[in-house]
Amino acid sequence: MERQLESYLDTVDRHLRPMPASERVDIVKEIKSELLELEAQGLRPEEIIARLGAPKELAAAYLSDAIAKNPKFSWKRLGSVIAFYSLAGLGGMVVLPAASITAVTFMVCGAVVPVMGLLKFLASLIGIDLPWVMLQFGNWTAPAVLAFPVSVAAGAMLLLAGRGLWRVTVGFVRMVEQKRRGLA
Amino acid sequence: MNIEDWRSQIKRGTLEFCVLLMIGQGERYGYELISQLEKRPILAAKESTIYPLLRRLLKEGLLASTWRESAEGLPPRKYYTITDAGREYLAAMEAEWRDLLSAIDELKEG
Repeated sequence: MERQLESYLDTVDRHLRPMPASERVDIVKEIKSELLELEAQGLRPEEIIARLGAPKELAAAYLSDAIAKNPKFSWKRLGSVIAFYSLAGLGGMVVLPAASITAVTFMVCGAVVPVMGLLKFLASLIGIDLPWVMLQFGNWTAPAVLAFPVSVAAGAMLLLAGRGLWRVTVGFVRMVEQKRRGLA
Repeated sequence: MNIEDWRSQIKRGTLEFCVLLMIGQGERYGYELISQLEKRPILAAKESTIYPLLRRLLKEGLLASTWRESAEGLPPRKYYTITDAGREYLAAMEAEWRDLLSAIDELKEG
């Protein structure tokens, strides 16, 4: 295969990095199969590349399809969002990092807070006060007995906020994708 | 009003249907699907649309795939076949499609 086409495939591969390796290999192999097919038909490398479009765009299409069609959160998908943002232009540089990172932070906090509340409560049962776990809302500090239920409620609210922000993230990717398709 | 916008909306909405229809008739590989669609401008779709779509249909279990060697001088190809779930979905889409066409006919007759 021509050098030009090899480097086309390398660029696609590089931009697919957040995807699992096995999937990446398969994607690149399938694109390579078409490149070779077109080459066998006698197309020149420039013609082949013109047909498939910029390698970055092609990789972005895989990433955005994977994000936009499934709104559920996963760490893998966060990787895809981060990779997509580098391809999504100026708006993406503000909205995507802000929304996706706060979403993850909220969700992580939402998961940690109840654990800490439970810890505080259990410690109080055996007569230990953990000074580094405190649930404080404004001037009110939750007593150790209430630590667990209060922390569960707080955790649930954080999780909800995180999920909301994740929806914003996915919604934004969808919007960018639609615009991109519209232009094509 | 730009007719191109409307065409691209129709294309986007029906591509999944077209791809499942073609694979439902027998196994196909990616480039084969793209060149079949290319012969009909209203359906033509680019690589950057078809390949991610195929991948999603695979993940959703509507399609299955297998790599096979080709004749001398040609690359191995990834062939797609339709699954039972895919057939079911396709049948549902066909019913909706007929429904749409007859609803439009009714509207035209007033």
